[in-house]
Amino acid sequence: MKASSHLGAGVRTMIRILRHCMGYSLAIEAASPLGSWSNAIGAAVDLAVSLAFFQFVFLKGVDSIRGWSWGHLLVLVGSYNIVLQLHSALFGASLGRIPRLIRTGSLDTVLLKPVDSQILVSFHLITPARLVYCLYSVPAVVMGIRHLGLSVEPVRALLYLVTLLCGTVVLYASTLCAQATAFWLGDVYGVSMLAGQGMELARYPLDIFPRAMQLGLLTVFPAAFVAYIPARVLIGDYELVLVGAGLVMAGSWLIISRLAWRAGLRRYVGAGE
Amino acid sequence: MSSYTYCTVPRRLLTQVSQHLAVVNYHAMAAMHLRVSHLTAILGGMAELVGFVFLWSAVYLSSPALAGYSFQQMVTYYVVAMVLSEGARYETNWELWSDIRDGKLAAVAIRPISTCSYYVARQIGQVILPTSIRVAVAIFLGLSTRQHIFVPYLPTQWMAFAVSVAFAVYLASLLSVARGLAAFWLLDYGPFGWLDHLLVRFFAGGFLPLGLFPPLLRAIANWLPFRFIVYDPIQIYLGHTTVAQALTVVAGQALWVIGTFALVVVLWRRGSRRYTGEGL
Repeated sequence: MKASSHLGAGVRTMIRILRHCMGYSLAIEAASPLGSWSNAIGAAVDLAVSLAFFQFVFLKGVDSIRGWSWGHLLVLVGSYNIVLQLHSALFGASLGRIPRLIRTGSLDTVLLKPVDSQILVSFHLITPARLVYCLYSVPAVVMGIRHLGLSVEPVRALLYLVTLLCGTVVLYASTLCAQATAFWLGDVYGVSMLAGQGMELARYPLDIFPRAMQLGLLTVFPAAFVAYIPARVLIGDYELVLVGAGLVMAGSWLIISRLAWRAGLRRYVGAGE
Repeated sequence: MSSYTYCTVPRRLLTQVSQHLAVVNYHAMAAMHLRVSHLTAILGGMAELVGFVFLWSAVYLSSPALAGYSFQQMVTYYVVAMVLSEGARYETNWELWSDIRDGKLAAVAIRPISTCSYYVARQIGQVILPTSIRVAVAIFLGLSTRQHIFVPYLPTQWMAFAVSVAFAVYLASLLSVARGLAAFWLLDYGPFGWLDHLLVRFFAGGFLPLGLFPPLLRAIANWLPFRFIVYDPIQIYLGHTTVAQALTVVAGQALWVIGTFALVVVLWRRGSRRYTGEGL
């Protein structure tokens, strides 16, 4: 009884702090309307460039890429951008600050707060306004579905949303692990580039890669769960085991990120610049 | 003109050259401290390259040639683009913006070297090591997968390519400085950075050869200077240009260098009048 009320108080504290974080981020966004517009345009251009890449190729007379037609790729690229924007709105800015917190010793102030440090460093710059950018990709996904002449029943739509969330969790956990290497390396430019560029492979259909690489992208470095699996689910070319694998992978990567963060904290000495 | 003036002009020129070389040298040494980071970043670049190569190999299964590129030429395009993108990295805009915003520009401005050329020299120093590593990787790829990488055999082609790369790096640095000088007028350049990076890379041909662009976007790209940084030097490398066309490319690069240099001078003169050195 006592333990559950203690847990309840912890959750309430967390929700209160997250509410403050959101208010703070909204105030920052409101203070820089030019910046907000630029971010909004940037997100649209990012999606447009990804789609243009494939569109230009298809305009040159290519029918399909390893069985992936223009409609399939609209769904894939749209799904990738939904996950990317979800990640960017919820954790992107916060996770990018981790190396500086560690390097300067400012992580001390995070550790002193009465909430879980991993959650705080992951969400302290949460920008819910940017969740709107996810909507940019929805027309691309809908157009892809129409292009393929498919109809999506509610169960499949629900499974699609579940796999998108799994993809966001995988992206979050892998980014946190990359940023947490700052506990050991100090400078994380290279590791961030490696993780970031590796995740860019999620933009492409898994079928274009050789077997060994496909296996790697489904297990060791699970970029396939970011967009390929959700796209397959929405297109209707899936088995339930894929959705289960997505859930297992998201859970496993959350545990891995937790272990990495705790191992890093044990090394942290707070002797910053 | 007195003999004194005859002596001082080359001496001043030599001093300036040695000052710039000192900046290049210092930042190249500083980059050496981050060599592990650079090597890891190159693995990231390789991941992107691997993605492109497998994607194009899948595309070429249904089409033997696209916009005049064979599969070998397309792979070569991305390998050379990987090297050029590093050599013409666009980071000076961020550093200059940060120095202006934080009030650190004053410390640079009191040095006995032109501030803008200091930033150009700094960028060149910073990219020497990572570019050299990428060149080594490209040579290794060229030697190990000879059937997939095109290597020109004409000395004139190599010479024209080398000249166009030198202009491309200088032009990229100047464009980067010009964009960074916007910080004199904008409080926060950060949000523009990603948009800026995306558009520059897109119109430079960093994602896709401009030959695959539809006519309207191709026309826009032709009016912008960015194609001279990646796309045109690679066209020379691949032998898609005649000698006359290669000379036109170099002349175009030279004109853009002059134009951007003039723009940087104007922006610097106007912007530095606004600068207070307070920082944020």
